[in-house]
Amino acid sequence: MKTTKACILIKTKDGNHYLYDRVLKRFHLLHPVLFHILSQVNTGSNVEAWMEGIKNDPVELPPYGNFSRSLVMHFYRKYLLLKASGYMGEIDQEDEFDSTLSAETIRYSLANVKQITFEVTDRCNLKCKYCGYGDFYEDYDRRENKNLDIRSAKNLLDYFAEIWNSPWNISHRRNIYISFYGGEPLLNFPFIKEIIEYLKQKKFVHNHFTFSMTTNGMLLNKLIDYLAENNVKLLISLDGDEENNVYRVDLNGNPVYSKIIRNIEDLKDTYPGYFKDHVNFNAVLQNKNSVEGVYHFFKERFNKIPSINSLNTSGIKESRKQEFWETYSNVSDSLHDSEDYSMIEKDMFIKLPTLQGVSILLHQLNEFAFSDYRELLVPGVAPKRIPTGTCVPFSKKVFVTVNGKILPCERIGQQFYFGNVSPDGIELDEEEAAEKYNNSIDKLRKQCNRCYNHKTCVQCVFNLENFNNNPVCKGFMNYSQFSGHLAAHIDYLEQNRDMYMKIMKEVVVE
Amino acid sequence: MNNPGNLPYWFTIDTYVHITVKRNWILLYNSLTGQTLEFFNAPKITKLVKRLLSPGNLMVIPLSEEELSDPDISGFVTGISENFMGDLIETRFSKQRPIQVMPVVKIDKDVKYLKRGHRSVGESLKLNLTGLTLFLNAECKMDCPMCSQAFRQTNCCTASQNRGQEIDIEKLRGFFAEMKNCNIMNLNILGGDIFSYSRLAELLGMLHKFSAPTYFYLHYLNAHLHFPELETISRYKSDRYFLKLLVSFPVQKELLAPVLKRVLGEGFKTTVIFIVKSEEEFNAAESIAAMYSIPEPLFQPYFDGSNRELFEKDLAIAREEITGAKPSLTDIYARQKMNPRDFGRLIIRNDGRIYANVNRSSTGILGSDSLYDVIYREMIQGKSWRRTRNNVMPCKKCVFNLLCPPLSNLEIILGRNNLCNIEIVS
Repeated sequence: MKTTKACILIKTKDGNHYLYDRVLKRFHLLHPVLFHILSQVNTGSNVEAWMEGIKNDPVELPPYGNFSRSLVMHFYRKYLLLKASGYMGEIDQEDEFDSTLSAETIRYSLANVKQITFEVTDRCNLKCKYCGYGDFYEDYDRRENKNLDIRSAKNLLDYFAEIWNSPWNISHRRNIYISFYGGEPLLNFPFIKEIIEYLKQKKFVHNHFTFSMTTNGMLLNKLIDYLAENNVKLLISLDGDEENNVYRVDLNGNPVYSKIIRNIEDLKDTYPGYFKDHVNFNAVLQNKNSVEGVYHFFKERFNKIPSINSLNTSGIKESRKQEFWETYSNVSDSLHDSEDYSMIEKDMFIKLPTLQGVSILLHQLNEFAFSDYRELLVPGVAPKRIPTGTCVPFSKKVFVTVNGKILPCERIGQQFYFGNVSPDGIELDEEEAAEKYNNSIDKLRKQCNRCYNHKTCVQCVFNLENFNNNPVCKGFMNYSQFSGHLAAHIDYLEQNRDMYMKIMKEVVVE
Repeated sequence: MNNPGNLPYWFTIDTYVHITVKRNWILLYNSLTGQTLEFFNAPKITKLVKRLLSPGNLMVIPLSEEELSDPDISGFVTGISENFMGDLIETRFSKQRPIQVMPVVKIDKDVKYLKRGHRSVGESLKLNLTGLTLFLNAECKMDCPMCSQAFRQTNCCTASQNRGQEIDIEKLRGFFAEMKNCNIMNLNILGGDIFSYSRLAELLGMLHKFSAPTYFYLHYLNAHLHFPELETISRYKSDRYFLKLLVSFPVQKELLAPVLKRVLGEGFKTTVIFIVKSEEEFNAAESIAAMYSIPEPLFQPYFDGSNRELFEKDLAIAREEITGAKPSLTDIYARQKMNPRDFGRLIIRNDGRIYANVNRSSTGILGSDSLYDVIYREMIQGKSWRRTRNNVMPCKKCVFNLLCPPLSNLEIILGRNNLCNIEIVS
């Protein structure tokens, strides 16, 4: 049995000392003397013998200086108390992971899925340079100007209606997102309308629906009335001002910024309430814009806080890698280059990766955070994790491509489909899906069993390079890497003390 | 550095210490050792602790030599350190004020968050159901004085209401079907006399599908009449079926003796529960337990309307008993957010009424209301499952309120929440 250490010693860049116990999920600020004692314990030194050897004052503990024998003795006793209270154990991570996923778990996930996303069409009226279905990438089905067959979509919804209305569903009166994705989804508006009307007339015992879509905004002038009437949540893709949008062009390579902005302004004037509550923006960060510029543009023009994402770095064609990385820009780096960094960070809050990292830490590695009442009532009842940070398929989302492939997410390559839907019906073998998933996870299991970051891992196995051979997880952390990872987040909290309460009170993991 | 006066020390309290401040009354509880430090009317200490708890300070404050020369402050800091509740750390070791990840109990599916925006209190609500208690019938040939009241205080049989009515097995079957994917931790089966339930065999077949421990409650006077049926239960899934034998006073020893002989023998996992209403009965129960070598008997005090003094004086819980139980931090957090005695538990009476607590109004009717509706109502109202000492008087004013055991049915019946001898001083 291979084990990993529960006790992680952390030293921040400004010189503070901490302990994080992975079993108790508890952080401690440490006096340097206690840190010194625990460091010895962690490296296997005989602390008892060391203590017995201390006879006189002062005790020299480089680099901290001299301490009285009684103070050192006090912290030795504190160490003994911590040890007797369950600190400093060992973890058998293999035992902490669920061995395999079962067909039952897949069915459970399907019955409790939070979002269904239809790739309504693969057509688009734009040809953005960095598009996920464009020249940079190779991990998607060929774009063939296709629409998703409405009969396939209805078959899928009928299938879900049955399990949503069954006891497999653990929720009541819960909202499910039905999302429309493309290409540009509004190019297949009849599909969107028919699905919305279809769901309105069907009977659902435990669920209701919110409709949403990602759009480039080109057709909003023609279709906004229906979208507003049905409170369809819009996420409009726009990279900032005119100069920031040079990569967003039409099929002939002409700029489209002014048309989109005109449509948005019209929408805002015609449906101000809808615009305020149901319209948001997403900007792709690249080498022609910056977090600072994007933030100010949307804040000042529309009083909105946009989401800002970097380009997806997986599935890049070998031949285009150099150009891709020239185009790529990292959100955190760009944020740190901002002049009013602190103000932007406070305002954008959880939409920023730095905050997301700290939030994950505080929600997943913290003894005060629980997923639900039962987890607090019956400690240890939470289901075991599956290795890697891959979601249990369909636990969050079902994504249906124009070709009827059923995937757990739109952010993974379309070769990783788990089933099909067609006008004739649905093929989704839960047994087979579980097996496919387990086989994929098994490629990483050994690495996960040794990884110190196994509880907050966000690495999806389907986004790993070299997936078919011997994939190596880039998120793997040994003891010192994990200690450094925790130190970076604590550094952040030391410098942004008010963020702790803000995260704990305002951020909710759904 | 966040240390404007360049003061020499950081003072901190460790996160395993539970701190309660009620006006001028402060309690610090070391969850590792069970030790407490209690202060009343100590303004300098109150101010210091409030500084520590201030959100921006994250449990670490700078202290000056001048502050430390104050005997009150110095005594407090020394006490904290000696009891391993916190430390004084020289600021020279680092360039930045450190933090503690201070206790802020957070449940992602807390009702207060589920009520927000597009979310629903019904989200994942079946996960909350962890226990089920069934009163199968109200049939019983005995006439125990406690019959109409004891079940309101503890798990105890009753034949006091709706005699002749028994749980509709078909409606129960539908209810069980809805319980799919619930994580049931225990089931309690009570009557009346459970062996008089006409559909017992079918029920046992249905219970078989649960993997949770199942407790059958039987009064010894009924057990005496049902030796063959007892055998039936003992043959079923004996690894997770348990018998709870209820003994109330006056005890008919000639009937109790053969029952004990039978149920303490092979094939049964039995707990004997003595329902006592006085010290004399408690002593008598102890003698019986000793005489028949009853392993780990339970003594359940019962309020019969005339013995209030027993609870308010003799059984009143003291500070030392509260802290002596050494509640863990998780116990304390749970008591902050819910009533761990009641949370997750539903009770179905023989007439089909469903309760979150038998002393409150019904939350649904078997066969008419779905399991989803019943749980949803209780989650929204929170009258039983989320009833904590933080929201009842006088406990809400007491610094021990989260260390104290959760609110009980006995306190509802007595109409008094503080069955303790702690005087509220804030």
